[in-house]
Amino acid sequence: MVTVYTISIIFTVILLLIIIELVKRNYLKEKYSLFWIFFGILLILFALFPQFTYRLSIALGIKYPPAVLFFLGLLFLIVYNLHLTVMLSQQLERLTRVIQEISILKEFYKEMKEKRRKE
Amino acid sequence: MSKVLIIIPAYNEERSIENVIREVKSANSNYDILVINDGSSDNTSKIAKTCGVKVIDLPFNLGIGGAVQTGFIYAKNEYYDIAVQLDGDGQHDSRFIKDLIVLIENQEADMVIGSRFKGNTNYKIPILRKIGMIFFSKFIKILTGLDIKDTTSGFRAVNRRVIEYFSERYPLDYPEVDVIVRLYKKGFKIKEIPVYMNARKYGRSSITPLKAIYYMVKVSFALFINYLRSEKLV
Repeated sequence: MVTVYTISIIFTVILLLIIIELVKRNYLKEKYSLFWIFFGILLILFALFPQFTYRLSIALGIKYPPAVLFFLGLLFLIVYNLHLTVMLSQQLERLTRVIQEISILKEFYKEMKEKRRKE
Repeated sequence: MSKVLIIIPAYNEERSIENVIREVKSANSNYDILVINDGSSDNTSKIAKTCGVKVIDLPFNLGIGGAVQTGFIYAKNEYYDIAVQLDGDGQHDSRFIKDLIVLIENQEADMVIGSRFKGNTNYKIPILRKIGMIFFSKFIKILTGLDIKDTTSGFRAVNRRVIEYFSERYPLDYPEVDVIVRLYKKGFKIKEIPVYMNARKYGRSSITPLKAIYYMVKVSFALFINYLRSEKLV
């Protein structure tokens, strides 16, 4: 019988394969891929042991057990997105600094070259 | 005599930049002029270079804050005592540079803002801008107790200590109002003096109603956050 659990196992296996492929092609850094692989394994564990999801749904008072997964998944995505925007802000700050320093150096370099040419 | 750098951020100002440079030069030939070409797609950089001033070309548009900060980093590296920021569109009258500098030299303030509101100035203010200005002026007053009328004026002079601070930290976009609160929190002294401003000759103000709203919200939020920040006083 095809249930949400089997679908999620299939989906996760595909996801893991894609992640490995992305790392192989250098599109994804190893240090970030580890996080996604860990996440994928967690998903598989959830799908393999529905009892856990079931118990969790009772504890949280959720009537439809798979909704627990949606709930946790959504929470996770929100937090992770926040983390990404924090990283993006940091990257922007660093990028700006690099551009500024390089532009100043470039000007200095041109000036030096000009001076040398005149000598 | 103190070493003075005039920082002119310019983004597509090919029609006004030459005039601005000439006016600054005629105001005082001892000032060093630095044009920050903020990724212009026109001839701003070329024209500025033919005027014989130093030009730093940013490879793409960083925004006014990023451009001006480049100037402060340069000023810090080259040991300038005073940096004056002046718009590339010709709005700011360079005859008033000396008035800004005098207050810095006499150590009456760490940053001096040239204001179009104090006293009798001949500048007619667009209505949208006026509303914003009054709003931010009140906001600054509530947060810091400072009485600054023209909070968004980009015509200002700062001393060495502020140059060093700005080269470390400076907001990327809409920096003018933001830094007033930052400097206040850091314990710097801010003063405002009246200057004449010219209506812009070329180009339109980039502020559309939607942008104006975004500007208000963004800057208000930034001000509020700055107020919450507990950076150590210098």
